[in-house]
Amino acid sequence: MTSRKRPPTKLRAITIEPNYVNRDGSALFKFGDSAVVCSVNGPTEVKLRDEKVDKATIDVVFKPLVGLPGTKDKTHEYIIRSTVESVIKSNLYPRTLIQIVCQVMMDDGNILATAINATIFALMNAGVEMKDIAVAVACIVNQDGNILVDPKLREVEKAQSYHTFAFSKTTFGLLFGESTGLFTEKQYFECYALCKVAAQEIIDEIRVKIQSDFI
Amino acid sequence: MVKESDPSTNERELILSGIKESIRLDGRGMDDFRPLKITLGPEYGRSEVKLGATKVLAKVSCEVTRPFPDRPTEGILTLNTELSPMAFAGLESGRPSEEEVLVSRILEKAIRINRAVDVEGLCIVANELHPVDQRNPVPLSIHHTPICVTFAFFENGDLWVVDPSLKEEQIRRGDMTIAINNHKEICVLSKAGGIPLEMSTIIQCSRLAASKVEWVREKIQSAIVKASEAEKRKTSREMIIDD
Repeated sequence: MTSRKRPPTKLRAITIEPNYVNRDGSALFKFGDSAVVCSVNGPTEVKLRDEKVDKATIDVVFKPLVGLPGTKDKTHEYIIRSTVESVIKSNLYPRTLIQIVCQVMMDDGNILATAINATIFALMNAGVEMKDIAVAVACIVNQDGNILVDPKLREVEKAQSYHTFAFSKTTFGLLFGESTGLFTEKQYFECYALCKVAAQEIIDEIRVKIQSDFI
Repeated sequence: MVKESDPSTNERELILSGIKESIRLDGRGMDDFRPLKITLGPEYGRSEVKLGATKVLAKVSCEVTRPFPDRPTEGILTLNTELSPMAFAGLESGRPSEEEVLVSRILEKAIRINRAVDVEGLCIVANELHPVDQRNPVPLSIHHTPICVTFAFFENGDLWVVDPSLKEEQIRRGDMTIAINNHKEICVLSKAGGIPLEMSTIIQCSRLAASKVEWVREKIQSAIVKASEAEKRKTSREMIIDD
């Protein structure tokens, strides 16, 4: 079994590239080699049957790197939509559409968290009003019972359980959590605590990026 | 649904009057490409190509499958083209647009129907498959490499530009894409509708396309050299540290 040289709680290098594609807002977010590009169009015209009179319709498309979108990608779409719906002030944009497209550029583990972070940054880049910022991070419990934050693909493949969390920036409460595999209650709360610390790191990174680019 | 807005009458006239005087909106000559940037890697079978502000990501993947019963000595090559709303607002995901159909059709003709990839070489012998981390992958055997050049025609077909930008594509009256391989053979000539063209124009365009293809090929070669050097450095580094 390959053990990693990176400390178990250390994140891979974070890269953020705003305005990656020519849309209302877009961003590339990377954890090491794992990369997702997200683009945001909106608020824009909405199809009549999707129109909501009191708030914006949020549409999320998740495109995998290889092949046609499958069940897993549809789940990702649903997760991203429900996460951003809780942070976007959608009542400011009634009868409009906010269209979000996530494209996986490279999958080396932790892809859902990468996609959520890319989406949030693209929304900020598009100037969509939000009441909060969500940051996501994943971790695994490996066969030896050790917790590894921000796992690579080969670590995920051998994991006992896999957990993805999204936290709110202001309250640091849990916005979204998904776990698969077998784990104990104690392990779950340990994962939760470690990911929370890592999330703080991502927020710092995002803040530095915004300060260096816009201020 | 979101619509990409058509250029206004003023924009249309500006671009057209420019082309009449051999001036393009972005300062290029009539037969100039936009700057081309090709990036390969960091994993096998992945490339990102930027032509001006147009970006395309291509990924080659493989899996073990059973060949078609009537062609037991050939592997299967499938091409999949996707234009998401990220590229072009107004595209509905799930339903291919006309543009997407045309693009995938040209790719299909240039690569699969032209037999650019050796599909017989894709066959494997039972029990002779090795994971990537045990043996270095063998490069795909490629017979020839067709490269596409697109032209846009204006007015009655006398005015034309190479590598049209989005705005130019929106006001063109006809277009033509030529794919030429490394033996200077025309592999695909696609002219789907638009105004009729003079024979002499088509010959003139193919001559120019042949020289442009050489230019693109040089870019591809240097990208390959760069990527293989990076790969060598990476493998030597991975032996020391492995995060």
